[in-house]
Amino acid sequence: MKDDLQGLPLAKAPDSIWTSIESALETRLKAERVSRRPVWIALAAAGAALSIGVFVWRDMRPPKASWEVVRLDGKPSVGSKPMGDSGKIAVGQWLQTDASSRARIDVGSIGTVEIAPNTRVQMLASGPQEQRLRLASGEISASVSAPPRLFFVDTPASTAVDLGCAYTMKADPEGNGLLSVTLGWVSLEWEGREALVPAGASCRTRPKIGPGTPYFDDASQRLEVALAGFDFKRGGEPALDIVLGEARIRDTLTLWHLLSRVDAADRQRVFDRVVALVPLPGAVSRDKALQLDPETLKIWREELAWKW
Amino acid sequence: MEMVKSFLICAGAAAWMVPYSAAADFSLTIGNAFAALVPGNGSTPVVKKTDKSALFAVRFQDCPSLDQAKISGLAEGLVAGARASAPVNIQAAAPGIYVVSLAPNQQQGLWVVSLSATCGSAKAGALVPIGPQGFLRDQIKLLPRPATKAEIEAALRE
Repeated sequence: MKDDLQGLPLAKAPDSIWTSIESALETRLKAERVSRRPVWIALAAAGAALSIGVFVWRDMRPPKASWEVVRLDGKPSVGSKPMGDSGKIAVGQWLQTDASSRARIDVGSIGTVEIAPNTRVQMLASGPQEQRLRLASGEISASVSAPPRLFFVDTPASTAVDLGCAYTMKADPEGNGLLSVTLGWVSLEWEGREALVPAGASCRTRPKIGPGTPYFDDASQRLEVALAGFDFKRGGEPALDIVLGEARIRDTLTLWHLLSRVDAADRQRVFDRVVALVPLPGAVSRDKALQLDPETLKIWREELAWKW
Repeated sequence: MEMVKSFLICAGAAAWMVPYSAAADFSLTIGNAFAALVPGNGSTPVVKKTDKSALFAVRFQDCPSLDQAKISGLAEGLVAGARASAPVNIQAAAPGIYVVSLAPNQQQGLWVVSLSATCGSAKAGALVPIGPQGFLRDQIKLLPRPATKAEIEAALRE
């Protein structure tokens, strides 16, 4: 076979063959170039977009929310580092004071929170809809001038919701709390249980129970002790008897809250005591009040507030 | 026909009289400043800015036409034995509800706030004594008219 091939005469190929071959090769290369281009162009574009995106995101992202902190006494720490005369606390960070230190947090432009000695607080949120602080233990004094329900303080046993106010909130290491309001109103809330506390009144809180019943600070000691027994020690009817007996006109704050916290059997007694102290307003239906109709109770509370 | 005519006249007269008979019972209610800011009553937070000096809240009672209601007040005092008068700040919190506050320089001395209010042609007044801890609820005098000078002087001496 090899010999046969070697015996064949050599003949020059016509130019048209080379032209056809070159043309075919060119077409194939072009096709390959065309089919590869989108891949690397897409990769390059994606890379460029990613780079631009990273730069834009870094420039445009909102700064990490933080509040200004001012040292008032001693050496408070923010994020476990001792702070200077002033500093910042960011979302998630803790601020802690020891027995000899105090600090003040400026909550944006809405108010201030003073941190007493031996207190641990954590910044939870800072935004146009919500400014939120956690009080783990210790004592804070808040003074807020903002629309209601913008500033919140979470404690182990409830959340204090600012309704336009100034107040002090304490929480002991076991999670027991005490709210004392000096201006306006605060709502203490926990799992559907709510206590509305006006200026001059206080309210205790307990873990797994939530807010107790609010009482005015000038209420009798007997009322206050009996109320604590009723709220947190299953004081029952004997404790309720003392509260009803000790109640003055402005203690209808306490009785109004008790209406929805006592058994149905005791509700009538509480109702009768409130009405004996402050006559039932014309706009309030006795039956609806005893049925705990929310709108009726609201109207009644707004009327009673003029006597508190 | 005559009976129907009489009935219509009586009914019309009664309807015309209703606001006036209600306004005849027109009076003021005085309460703690927080009563004007009861949660859920739509009070605006603007009142809060005066809260620290807010002494008390006042509400129009039995005033059927609050758009015709007016209130004014004056602080009458005894400072270092001398009689003094000063304006008070009265800020609307809601229709017919106001928050009253004194100027910071009125923290010294004995003061009584004299309020004058009108609801249409009906009048009411109140004398609200101020103590170191705020207004003295038990000593408030509600009047069917503005207080006279004699009543103000008497309130300052009580």
